Amino acid sequence: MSFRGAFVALSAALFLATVWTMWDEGWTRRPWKATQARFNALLASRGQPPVDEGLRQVTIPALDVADRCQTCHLGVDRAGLEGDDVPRELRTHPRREVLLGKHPVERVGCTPCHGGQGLQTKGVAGAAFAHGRDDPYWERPLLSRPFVETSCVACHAQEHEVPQAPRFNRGRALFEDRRCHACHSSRFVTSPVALAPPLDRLKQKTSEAFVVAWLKDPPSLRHDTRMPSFWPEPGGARDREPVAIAAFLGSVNDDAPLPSAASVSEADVKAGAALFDSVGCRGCHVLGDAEPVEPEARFGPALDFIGERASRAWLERWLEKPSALFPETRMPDLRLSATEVSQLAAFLAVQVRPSAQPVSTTWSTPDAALVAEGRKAVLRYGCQACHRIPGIAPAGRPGPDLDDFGDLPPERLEFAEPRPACEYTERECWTLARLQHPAALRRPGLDLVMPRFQLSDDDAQALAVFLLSNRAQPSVPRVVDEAALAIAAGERVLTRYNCRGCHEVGRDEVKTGDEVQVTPRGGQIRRRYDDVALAPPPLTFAGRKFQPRWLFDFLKRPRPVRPWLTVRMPTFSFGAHEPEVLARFFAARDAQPFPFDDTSVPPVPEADQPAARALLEKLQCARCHAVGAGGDVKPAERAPDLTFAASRLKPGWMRDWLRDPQALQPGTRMPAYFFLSDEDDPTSWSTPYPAVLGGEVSRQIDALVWLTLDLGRAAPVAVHPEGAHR
Amino acid sequence: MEPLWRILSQPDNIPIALMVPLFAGLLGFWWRTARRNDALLAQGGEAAVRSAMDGAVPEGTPDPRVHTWPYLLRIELIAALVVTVVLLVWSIVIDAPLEQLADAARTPNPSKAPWYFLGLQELLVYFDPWIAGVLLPVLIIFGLSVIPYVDVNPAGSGFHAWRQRRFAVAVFLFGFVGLWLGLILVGTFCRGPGWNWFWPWEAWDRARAVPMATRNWADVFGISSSSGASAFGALTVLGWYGLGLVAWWRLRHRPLVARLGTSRFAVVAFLLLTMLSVPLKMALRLGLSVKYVWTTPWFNV
Repeated sequence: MSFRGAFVALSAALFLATVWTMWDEGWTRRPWKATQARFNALLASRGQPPVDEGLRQVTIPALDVADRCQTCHLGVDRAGLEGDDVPRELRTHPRREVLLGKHPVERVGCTPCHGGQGLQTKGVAGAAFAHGRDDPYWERPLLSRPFVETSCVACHAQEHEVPQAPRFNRGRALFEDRRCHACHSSRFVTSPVALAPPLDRLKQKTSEAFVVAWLKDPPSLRHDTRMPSFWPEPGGARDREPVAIAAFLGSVNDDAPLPSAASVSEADVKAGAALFDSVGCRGCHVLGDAEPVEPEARFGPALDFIGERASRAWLERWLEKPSALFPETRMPDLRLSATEVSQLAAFLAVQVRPSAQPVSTTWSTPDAALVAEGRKAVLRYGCQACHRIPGIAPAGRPGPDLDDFGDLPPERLEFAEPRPACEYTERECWTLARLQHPAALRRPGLDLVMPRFQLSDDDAQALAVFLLSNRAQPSVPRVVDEAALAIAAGERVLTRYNCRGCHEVGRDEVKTGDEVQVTPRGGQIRRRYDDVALAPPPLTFAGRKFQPRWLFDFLKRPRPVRPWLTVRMPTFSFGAHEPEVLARFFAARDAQPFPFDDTSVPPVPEADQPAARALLEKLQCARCHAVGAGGDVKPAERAPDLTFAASRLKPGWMRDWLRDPQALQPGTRMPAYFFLSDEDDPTSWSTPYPAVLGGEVSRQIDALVWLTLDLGRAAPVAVHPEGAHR
Repeated sequence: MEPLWRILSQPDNIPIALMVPLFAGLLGFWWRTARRNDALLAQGGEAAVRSAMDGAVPEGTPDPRVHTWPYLLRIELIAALVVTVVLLVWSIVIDAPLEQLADAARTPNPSKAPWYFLGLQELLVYFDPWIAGVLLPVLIIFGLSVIPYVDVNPAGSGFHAWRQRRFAVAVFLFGFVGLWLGLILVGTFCRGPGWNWFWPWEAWDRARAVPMATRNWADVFGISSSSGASAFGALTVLGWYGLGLVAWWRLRHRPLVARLGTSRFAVVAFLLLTMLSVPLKMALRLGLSVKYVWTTPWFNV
């Protein structure tokens, strides 16, 4: 080619390349122009004015945010573009009113919640690393939809339940429930680990064969167990290590065998069955339930085949005082009499499969080599993190810390081939795989000791959401909400001791049209009693009802208010501050002062006192509210001794209670004496005794409250009567 | 081969991917002309080579040699245009490989230098930073700048040949192609997480742990006292550079060596021995796990 030709051709090429550069800058790198044109066409088709063309950026220096997302996602903060006919990227934000209403884009931005590259306006659609998704070099990749909830805790960590984040809430609860924090730390979990049963006294409780079978496959012996499978695949170490561990446990348990319990009759077993149904066991345990039950009822282990794993003699010792065998147990002391203990143990000991026999506490003489291998295996798997084992001191958490799990560097995310199918980002998929198919990540040379937990797909996703929340996140400064903290702390205690197994605490109201569906939170045990009045009382308004001091004392040393009930408030082995946390929790729930509250009421004027006493007589309060001894009233109709009221109840609650008992406790036997003369006017309270105290409802109520409190003052009730057995 | 493709397709490594065939082509071209010229030299000396380069010019025809302007410069202009167009297109088509914000607490693994420094980085496996990062680069620059002063061989100037410039060509091939480019290729293709050795067809196993038990040169001979080791190391290094004296004694009568003179010979010998010591030390490290040859309380070599 001649010089001239080459020169002309190359100059033309250079010119074209320059034009390409300019075109590329102006159009290819501004694909949002096309998107904005599409959006304006959409608006035009709906007869709405177009938006101005141009880059849209939200800058929030405090959060280190410069987001241009709304350059394309123009419909995000616009009502009316929810439909499926609108292209997904132009649609209104889901739950816009709540999510964007509480988190205005101009104050919060987009990437603090969604992750991804907020500045990126090129190559977002369809390209690799779109929006920073799976970009190994972008520290906050775009989060897949379920995992957006991992960002909520940046600001909402102090709430017990993060609003609008069900997966996170469930994941956090699961993390504690499955005792993940026994082995791994998390920046959002500070509560102590609820220990699993100690592995001493095993020779009194169960047999070696059971221990081996249990270790091999816990769910096959008790479907609801939290104990994970350390050897999920058959063969290999599963045939050896459980036997060795059982031998080791046998060698460190040298308790003398328990004296065989006194013989029991068929009648004892029957009495035990009745006790089991009524005394409160079913608040936490299931036994022979065919249909699915509430999660609270499955708090404790299912007792279906308890006789196959625990001897009767051991059960008696356990029921007598659980904390004597297991000081950290959450099983409370039901203050059972000796007869009740032996009846209940007799009933439980015969709970075996038709083909099985009650457990016999037989143990072989351990072989030294096997014991040594068992000890090594125990230390390797970190059994001591959850169980107290004689001769092994618990020392720290055996697993890696997960405080920064969400920031796991991309190079740590390694999959074995073939990868499990997964539609999320690398980090999210890896986390799910780690929880559900740990074997899929196992490679030669990398030995995983993490066991496999029983997790449904939803559970695994919730747990993955929670785990990935553990990362450093910028947050907007928030005022510390004392009430929210108190409620969060109280909820943890409530969960820890499963208070909701017996008591309703709070109600969920779901509006569907005009109907309001009220679902109580907890208190499932109530439906097991023929009469609600014989079941544990609801505590939804406990903060308004009880004086904090009384509540505190009652939690520490329960003193039955209704001694005629079979079900009883057990004595919990609460930690040092837990009763106070609960008292504060109930006060915070109802916005009540804590710890000091004025419970005095102005006395009824001398002149009105005779009329007031006459009213008390007319209403026959003492008929059910036995002052002193009970009388001939049916148990379901008996009500607490009114002499307790002065130290127990708050006057404000008593007023509300007298006015409208059903509003505070639907289904209560307390009669409603006062009524609305006009159904539609909530202020039109009227009295059936218009002649008394001028017929004024509030005066009558004040008089009744004052009289009731006066009863308690006249006959002061000791706060802790010693020797009160029930 | 998938790992190799992953390495090659990184925008960072495109220059290296281009460099390998380009340099191989250049070497092949040199080798062909050098062989042809060597044959001509054997027949008729340098005059034969020069007349062959100019082409056979029959009597009476104009001299085929041309002037720099415009004949050379306009080719250079074309070349400049080609480079400009290629760079423009390259910059549009391939985005710069930007990585995440630098975080001293979380460095990428492996942390690789820009491709042109990968050879030096590879040296860090075998030498302390002050040698690999300071001394050797200084010596390289020094060595390159003294070439005009120590190259006393007038032959073979202006054309490719092997026979007349065996020493210069061998040093170039060894130092530049073998060491510099070779180490760059090793750093690019054979180093993975933890700077462990991975063949280009091997997947990077981030959990691979390679035992790092090393010993010093004196330990190989069972010398355990520190002063003994120090002295032994010093003797070894001195002995190595002493080879220069031996070479001087053996080669002093050769015409080229005589023309160099003692001081220039000393410089050449020092630089050459230093260059040769690099692969030697690498062999000691890889073969005998030797970390230091010469240990002293102040520095280690």
